[in-house]
Amino acid sequence: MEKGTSLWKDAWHRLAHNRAAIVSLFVLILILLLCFIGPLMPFVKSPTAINLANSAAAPSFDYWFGTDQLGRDLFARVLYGGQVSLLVGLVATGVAVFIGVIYGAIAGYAGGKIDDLLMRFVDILFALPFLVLVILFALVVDDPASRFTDWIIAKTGFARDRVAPITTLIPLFIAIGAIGWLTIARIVRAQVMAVKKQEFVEAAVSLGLSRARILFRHILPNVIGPIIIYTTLAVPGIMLLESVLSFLGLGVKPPNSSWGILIKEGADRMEVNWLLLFFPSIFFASTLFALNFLGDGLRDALDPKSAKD
Amino acid sequence: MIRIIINRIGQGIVTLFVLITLTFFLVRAMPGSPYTEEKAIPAHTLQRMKEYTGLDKPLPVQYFRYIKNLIVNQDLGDVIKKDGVKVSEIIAESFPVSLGLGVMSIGIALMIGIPAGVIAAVKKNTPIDFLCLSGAMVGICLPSFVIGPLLAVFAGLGLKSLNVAGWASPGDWILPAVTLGLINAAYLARLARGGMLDVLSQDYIRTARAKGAPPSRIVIRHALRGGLIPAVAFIGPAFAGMISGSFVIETIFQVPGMGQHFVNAATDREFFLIQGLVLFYGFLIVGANLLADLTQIALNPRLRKS
Amino acid sequence: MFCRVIVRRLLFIVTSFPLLTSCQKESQVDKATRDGILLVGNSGEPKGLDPHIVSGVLESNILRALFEGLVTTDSQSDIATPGGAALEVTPDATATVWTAKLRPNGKWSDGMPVTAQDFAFSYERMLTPELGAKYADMLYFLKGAENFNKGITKDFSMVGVEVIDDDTLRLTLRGPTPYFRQILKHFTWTAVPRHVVLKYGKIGQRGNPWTRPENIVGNGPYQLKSWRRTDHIDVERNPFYWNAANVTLNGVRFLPIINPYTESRMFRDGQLHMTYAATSEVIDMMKKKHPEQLRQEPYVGTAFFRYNTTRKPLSDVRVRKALSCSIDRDSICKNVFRGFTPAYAITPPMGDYKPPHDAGFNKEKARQLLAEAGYPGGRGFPRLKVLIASKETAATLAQAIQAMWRDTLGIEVEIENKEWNAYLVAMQDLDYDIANAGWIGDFLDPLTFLEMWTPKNGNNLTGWDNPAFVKLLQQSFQETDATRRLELLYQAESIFIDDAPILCIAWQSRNYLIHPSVEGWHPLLLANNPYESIRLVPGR
Repeated sequence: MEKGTSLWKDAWHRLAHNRAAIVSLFVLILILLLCFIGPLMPFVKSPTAINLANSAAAPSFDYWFGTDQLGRDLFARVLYGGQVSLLVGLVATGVAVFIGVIYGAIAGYAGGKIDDLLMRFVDILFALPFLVLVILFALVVDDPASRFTDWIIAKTGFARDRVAPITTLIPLFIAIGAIGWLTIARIVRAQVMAVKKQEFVEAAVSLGLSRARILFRHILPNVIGPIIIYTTLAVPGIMLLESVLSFLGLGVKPPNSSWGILIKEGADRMEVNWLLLFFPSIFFASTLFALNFLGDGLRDALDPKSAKD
Repeated sequence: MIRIIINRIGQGIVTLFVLITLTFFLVRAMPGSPYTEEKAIPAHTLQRMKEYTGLDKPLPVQYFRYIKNLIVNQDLGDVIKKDGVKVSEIIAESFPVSLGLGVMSIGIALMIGIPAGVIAAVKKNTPIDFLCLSGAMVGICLPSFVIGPLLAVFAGLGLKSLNVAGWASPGDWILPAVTLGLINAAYLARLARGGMLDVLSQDYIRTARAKGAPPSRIVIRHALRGGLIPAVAFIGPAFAGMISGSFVIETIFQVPGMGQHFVNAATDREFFLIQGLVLFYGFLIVGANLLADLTQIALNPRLRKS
Repeated sequence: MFCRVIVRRLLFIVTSFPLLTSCQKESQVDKATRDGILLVGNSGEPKGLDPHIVSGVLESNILRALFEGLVTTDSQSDIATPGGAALEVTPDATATVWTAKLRPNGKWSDGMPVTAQDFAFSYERMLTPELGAKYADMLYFLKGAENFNKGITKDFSMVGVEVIDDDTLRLTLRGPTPYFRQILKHFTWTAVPRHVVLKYGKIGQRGNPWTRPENIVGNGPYQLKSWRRTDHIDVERNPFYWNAANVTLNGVRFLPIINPYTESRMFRDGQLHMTYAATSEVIDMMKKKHPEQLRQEPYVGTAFFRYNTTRKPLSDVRVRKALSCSIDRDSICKNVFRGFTPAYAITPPMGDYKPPHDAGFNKEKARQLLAEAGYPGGRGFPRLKVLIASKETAATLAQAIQAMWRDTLGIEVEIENKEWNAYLVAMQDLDYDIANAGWIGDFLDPLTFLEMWTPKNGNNLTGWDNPAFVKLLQQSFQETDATRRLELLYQAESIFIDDAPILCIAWQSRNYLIHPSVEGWHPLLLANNPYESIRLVPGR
């Protein structure tokens, strides 16, 4: 007799056999560790220490990736910059997904006129130019965000160095989240509507469970698949968006650093010192590559249709 | 049938109306004003300038004046910082350039992305799959402000026949279009691969294989039509994104397109220009959706009933 | 098999791309040199071409070609030679009443003669309140101009502009102005064609379409040929220009290139004769490979930081001076900027004026002053915020300053980077502690750098108010002797730098790239080189 297996076990099995996806997973974990745990290591230097005597140095034992034009350690800058880029990618996408999932679930489950109205609103918002709206939102939220930073520092007494790099990202989280939830809302709504028709939902309804409970306990877990896939594939786009905003001077701003800023500065100095472009780009591109392959792998794994082969 | 068309058009108008209103109030929530300048404008002059554009009136008054002007005079307003220039002029001048660039880059994206995705799907899980996809994915993993200068330096400065920037000589569209095209090719490749994989696993494909049809025929004759649907569906949003989001390309390659106006209008606080551009863009999207809907209705009689 | 077909087809298309483009043997620059057209990078799209409405440097670059004022710039030095629309401009004994005799053969580009009425009309138009001219205060040198512009008087005959006859204009100024010829070089003092402006609108009407390419008329060496927005602006010879026979350059094409990296790539690709600016990377590269194509020339601008003197502890002059003395300007000029000169006052040296020196870089004095102010070793000093805008070197400069304050005084400051518009608003609302700033002079006289620090001036933005300073400035307005006047201004500036409401960092230099075929482009403080005497020599 065959050993019983669930949807998740099957999916994991398929994923494990997808070499590209597994490699990608390892690469991602490695990068996450480097960027978030790395800076805590004692041998990692400060990313902001200016040392004009040592500007544009080649890689050496002291400075693994060399230094930039102000003598700052490139390796440290790449790690700290990664923190920001990954944080923006994950949190901003998280915000968008959070809003979108709730919105789409309500629309899908409620159906009828409410669904109509909610999705009509989404259709309207789809006709807005994404980049411009993000810029407008970021500009509007910038001031309140810095006031919020001041308030937090006053209330908690944390050092500004710790708080500011995170709180200055808040306009980005809000701006991207406020505009980026549309696609996931549509996806979730479609899934919820499909799942709603299945028999176990009817059973739950006839048992007299509350609508909220049905929605969150029974329907959403079956919708998680597409949500995960979408999130994995949306993060690269968000990280690219952050880099474009930094190029425009609107996202992360110097002296804070992100991969986007490092890459921009590297591209500017490309012909003088190509390493400044190379190292941040490798990290950035690898992360995005890995996320894309992982997302594709997840889609292949979780999609019952491809089980046929 | 007529009722459906009117219904859709009505929805489109409502959409545009909501867009205008949203943008109107969002834009005025930004800190600063169109009159913030490095050398401060004297108070009495500032007052005159505000009176001229109507920005000294309370918000509801401004709003109704704008709507009225829009409907009665088809006037999108003035560009505040440029004396005597109308928003409609800016759009009329820059849109054709963006359109041309967009068409070229979509062409390049299709030429690179579709074959890459199809080959990857056919040779799934082999090294060729990985290679094709990786090659196509360069566009997703590096920002345009890196790909652009790289191409500009190596191809533009390297090849005498290619200019590094500008929009005057016949070949000037190549570098910007290739840069944009590479980025979209990546998405197209992945969508094509995904779509083809879905189709190739279908029963009727199995039947064709069992019947002994040659693989190239299976792919081209049977699988392509269905497998390319997701990729083709992406062309619309890709095109729209290019119109509004090509700021980086335009800056790097000095292209007089519309993307830069979107961004500059926001940083310059050009209220009317932002509103005009969002309205125009929304108009394009709504119009395109309307056309798509109507075409579907025309092709599919079942949709005509409701 | 299938893949091979596709790959083959793709390769064919890709390799035929270079052949499809016209194989240009000649670069754009070489062709333009042959045609006598100068290709210039101009940093951005002009906001307009009406001399009374615009106020920017890039617009003035184009306006110079289209309009000629009473006095033009000599091509080789900063001396104002009364060449131009006027044969001569002569002052009376007190330098308060100036008489301009116009050239009798001066013509507009539509053939009509340039008359004194045109100039009088132009001054009236710029001062007309309804027009809302931002730069109207450039004309406040005229008697009664300020009152007319603010609407206090409604009669233009109260303003000191008098038409004696068709070729003679008498200007009565608000006070002795020995340096008036420098003022006349500014584009706000040029004339606009009365007959053309009134043809398309009323005198004070905004949005007047007279500057559209099909309508615009000027009296300069060139006329507007075409204007493709965000693409290029072409000017060609004006056949009616009084000195057309001696104009050696056939035309100019202005390219509104915003991104300086794109601009230097275009220069290196042979698409430009001259760039507007040069980034530090390009400067370093050019110094090594083609030093003759790089120019680094002093420019009439200053980079500095404003202190908000209305906030503690910056209200204490000892704190401000302590902060100022901790800054090693030489190091900053070497590492952050390229070609800038350390500034020890706000006004850069110009003509006969040599500015006073401030205390300079002195670590001991800085620490001592800070201790005197109550913060020995930096203890108890609040964390101030340094406001910058997202422009090129601002962040680097701010970090360098931050490091210097930490080293010398033991204090920590934070850098607050705002978007450009938000940054301006914060400064204008005095909602900052220390703010990065700059100022470019309008004319070659110290007044353009000093007048802004009077209390009611909209460009002060520090809250600094010193009656002794104001008094000295007002005295200078009455002084007829040029040398004595400069002495008064020197004293005023001494008070200014002694009180230190700002931290002067560097006097700017203009860094740009220039093609070897361009002859006749000399270093000028205002960078307002006339185009007509430029020669383009092929084969270089």
